[in-house]
Amino acid sequence: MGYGLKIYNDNGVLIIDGKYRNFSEYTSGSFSPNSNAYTTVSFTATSNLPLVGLQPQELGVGGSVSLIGYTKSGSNWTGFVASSLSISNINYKVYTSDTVNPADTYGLKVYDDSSNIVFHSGKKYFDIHLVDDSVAILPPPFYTNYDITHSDISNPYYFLSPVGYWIYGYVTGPQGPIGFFRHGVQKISSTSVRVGWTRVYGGVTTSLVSAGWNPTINLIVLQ
Amino acid sequence: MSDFGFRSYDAGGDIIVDGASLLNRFRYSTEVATGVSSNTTLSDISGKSTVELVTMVNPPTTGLWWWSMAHTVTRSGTTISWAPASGLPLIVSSASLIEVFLYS
Repeated sequence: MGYGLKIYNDNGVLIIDGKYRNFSEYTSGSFSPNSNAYTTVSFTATSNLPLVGLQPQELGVGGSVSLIGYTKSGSNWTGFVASSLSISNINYKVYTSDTVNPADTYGLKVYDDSSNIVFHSGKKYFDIHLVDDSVAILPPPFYTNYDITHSDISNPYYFLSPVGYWIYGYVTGPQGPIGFFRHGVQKISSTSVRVGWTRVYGGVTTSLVSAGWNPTINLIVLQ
Repeated sequence: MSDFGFRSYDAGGDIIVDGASLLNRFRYSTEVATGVSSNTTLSDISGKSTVELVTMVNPPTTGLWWWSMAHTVTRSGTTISWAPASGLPLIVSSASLIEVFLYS
C-alpha cells in the first residue's frame, strides 16, 4: 500500500496503517472459577470477533487457567469458557475487531479502503508485548513448567494457544488415580508467568494410561 | 519516552499509543466447523511474524467436556493450515475460531 497514513514505533515496526485493523478493548471484569473446572463468563453480545486475555492470580494464591473457547449465539459472540480449578478471582479483558465509527468529532481516525475504521484515538488497543512461540513442557508424571519473565511491564494479560491435554493414570493395586490435564498459565509475580499443567478432571483407572497431545505452545503477553 | 514521533492520548490524558507501542494488527480470521481441514494463503505475510490463535467455538460444558479440543493450526511460509484434533487419542474435535495477528 503506497498511500495513506503509516505509523511506526521506535523500533521501526509498523503499528498503524490503513490496511490492518487493530483490536480494541470491549469490556473487562473478573470471575471466580467454579467447582466444575470450567467457568462460562458472559459479556454483552457482539458480532465483532473477540479475543480474551486472562490474568491469573499469583502463585500460591490461585491455580492456573486457560481459555477453552468462545460462546456464540447466531452471529453474535456472547462470552467465553475458561478452565481452572483455582478458587481465586481471575481478571479478563475482551478485545474486539470493532469497525463502528465512533460519534466523536475529535481525535485521529484511520480508515481502510472500504471505509471501515481501523484505528481511533478514543479507543484502547492492546499491545502484543511478547510472543514466546517455543513454550514446551513435559507432560505428567513429569509436570515440568516453563517460566517467562517480562520485566519491562507489570500485570499484563495472557493468551495461550494452542492448549494441549494429557491423560495420566496409574494403578497401585486393583485400581489407581487418573487425571485429565490441560495447559494453563499461572502468575508467578507481576513480571513473570508460568505455563504448566492444570488438572481438570480426576477419576480412577485399572490400567496405566499416559497419552495426549502436548504441542509447542505460543504464549502471548498482552497489555 | 521519545520526545518525537506519534503520540495519542485518551480522554483521561493517558497515552494509548507512542513510540514504545506494539499495537496488534489483525490479519485474518476464519471459523472452522468440526472435522474440517483446509488452508489459506496470505501472500502479504511473507517476511512478517504472525501468531495464530485458536480457540473452540461453543465448547461443550456438560458430560465429558474435557475431551473436546480446538483445531491444530500451522503456518508454512505464507500458508496457514488447520486440521481437526480428531486424530489424537480419545479426543473429540470441536468447531474453532482461528485468528491471525501480525507482530514485531
